[in-house]
Amino acid sequence: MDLKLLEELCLSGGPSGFEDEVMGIVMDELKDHSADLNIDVMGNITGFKKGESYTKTKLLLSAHMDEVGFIVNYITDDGFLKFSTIGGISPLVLCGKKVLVGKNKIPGVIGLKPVHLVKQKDECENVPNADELCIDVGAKDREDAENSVNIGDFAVFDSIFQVQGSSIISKALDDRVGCALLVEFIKKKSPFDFFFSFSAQEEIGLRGAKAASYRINPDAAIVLEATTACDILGVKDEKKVCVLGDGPVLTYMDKTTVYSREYLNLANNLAKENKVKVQMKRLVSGGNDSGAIHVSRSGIKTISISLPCRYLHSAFSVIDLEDLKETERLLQLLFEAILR
Amino acid sequence: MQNLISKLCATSGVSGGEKLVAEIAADELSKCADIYLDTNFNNVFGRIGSARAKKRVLLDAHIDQIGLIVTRVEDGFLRVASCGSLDSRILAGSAVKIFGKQELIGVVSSVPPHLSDKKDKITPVKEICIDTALSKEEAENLIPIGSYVAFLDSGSKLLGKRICACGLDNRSSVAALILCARLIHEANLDWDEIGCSINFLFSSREEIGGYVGAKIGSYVIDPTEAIVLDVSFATQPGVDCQRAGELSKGPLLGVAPSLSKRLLDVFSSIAFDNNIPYQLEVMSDRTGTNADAICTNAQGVETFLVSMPLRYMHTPYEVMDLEDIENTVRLLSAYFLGY
Repeated sequence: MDLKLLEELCLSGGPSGFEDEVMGIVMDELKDHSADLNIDVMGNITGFKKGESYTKTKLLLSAHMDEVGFIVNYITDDGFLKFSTIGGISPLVLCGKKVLVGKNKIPGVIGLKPVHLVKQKDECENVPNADELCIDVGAKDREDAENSVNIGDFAVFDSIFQVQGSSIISKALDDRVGCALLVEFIKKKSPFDFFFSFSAQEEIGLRGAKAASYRINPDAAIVLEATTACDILGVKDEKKVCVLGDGPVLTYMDKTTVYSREYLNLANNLAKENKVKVQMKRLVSGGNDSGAIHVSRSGIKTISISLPCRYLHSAFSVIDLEDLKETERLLQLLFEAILR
Repeated sequence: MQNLISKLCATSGVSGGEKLVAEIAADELSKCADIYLDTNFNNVFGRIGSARAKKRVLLDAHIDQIGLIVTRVEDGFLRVASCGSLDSRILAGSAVKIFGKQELIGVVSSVPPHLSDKKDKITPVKEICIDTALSKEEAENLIPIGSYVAFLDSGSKLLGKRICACGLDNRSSVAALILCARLIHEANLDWDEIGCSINFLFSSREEIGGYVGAKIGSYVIDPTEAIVLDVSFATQPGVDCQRAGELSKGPLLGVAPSLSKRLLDVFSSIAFDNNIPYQLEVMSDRTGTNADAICTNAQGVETFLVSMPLRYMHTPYEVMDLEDIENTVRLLSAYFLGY
């Protein structure tokens, strides 16, 4: 995979509803590879990829462009920005992080009271909620802040893109890695026609995908995602959800979808025959755009292929390069098997 | 100034592991003072004037920063202990630099909310682990026990003249003293004639208790007078002006039982005469700085404390105003150039 593209996608800022920068990158990549690229009302990019042959099954490949982030909802007299989170961010990972506010990427700090001045025991043990925190952009007062920031501006975590060993460390790998996989897949020569969607607003309730799948009206869908890996020290094997390095994750059921058994068996068999590493998700938890897609119109046969990802929804998440390779292989095999 | 601060902050130097940053500071200081680097304790000495001068003024700033030290390598993860009073509330989800056989990036592990049994409780340092994103074997080969770990610095300019960076406590003071040294050097006064020497000390190991660097360093210098430069709390949400100075309102002059009242008068007059804004920081007991150790060196040293206001102390992104640092440089150098 082209890691340059993944880096560009990860470091661009696009929480739900503010996907413009990501959209720009994807549109730019695809402009010569699809005849009818379209950006709809919700901010989804949808399109059709002409393959070598027509297929009876209308297949949709989907990944979401948005990431979790913040929205400025108030500016205090002292010039601090009060905010809410966009999507699910644990209050545990907020304190002491740097963020970039708005399109102009104004740097700000989510600070907290110095530990020296914390007298109450519960104050050092309990995590402050987002509404107790604020972003410091260095403004002297409200007016000073308002010269650079508006109420309603978004913010995202500031991060890095680092390849170390066989891992990638960055923010928003959920689901820019899906976007990168999909972009590359579209740019390749395809044996069959297919449709695709880069959806908006997944993190706030699968909203973009609902509209996109209605518009495309497919028979079947493959959703490319990143899913929680909890394979960290001290976690029992059965609680790990999935494990980095064990290949792409197939899910039979999560909080939003019961996946197509037919496709699941197909994917598992293909993996076995072709010696592609795959793993089954070990917990019924989370959800993704499949939740909206599989109930679109009169119902759509849906499967998701997810990359195991540690610490998603935080400033620094981790995926494995081998998993990425195996995911590319499985996607190709499954795609051809569904359409053949 | 911002370049110098960025350079100093970008180089980690956790207490006891200050080697790299001490070398950079020594290099900067060597352009304007006679320097000596204590490679055993990582103390940096710089002197303008004679070691035998009758009046020997010590200008001290600690050069170390808080961080972590690796106690165990386990399945590609690290167990750590803290160096200095680390704020465990900011650990989860932070990126760190690991100083193993090579410099590596790590991420402080956090359990996803749906798997956490103690949802809103902070994990204490001894229970956290750092994800090296490496395999078991790679991690064991590259990261010896005892390796230092510091927060990843990606400091930047904020609005106006404010900045955020990791380790502004106390690299901002080191930067300020280097700038003072430059000004004093450029003034080209005859310090032998004046009968005074100015002795810079960038002391190690302040954050881990005992003020080891300052204690040893001041013994070596044997000063007749000492000025300690450090950072102190600035007002921020949750911290009002009763307990803190304000950002952008100038250096804080220390008022405390153990600090020199004479020097307080001297520095407030200099500030007044030169139109330098300043604030007072009143403490009733220990100052919590190197001043506590230096004032009892040998037969006792007349000691004064100047602090610069800083927000979010001991988090990966401390915030300061460059103007406060500039004003501190003006104040301190005016003290010497008035001779």
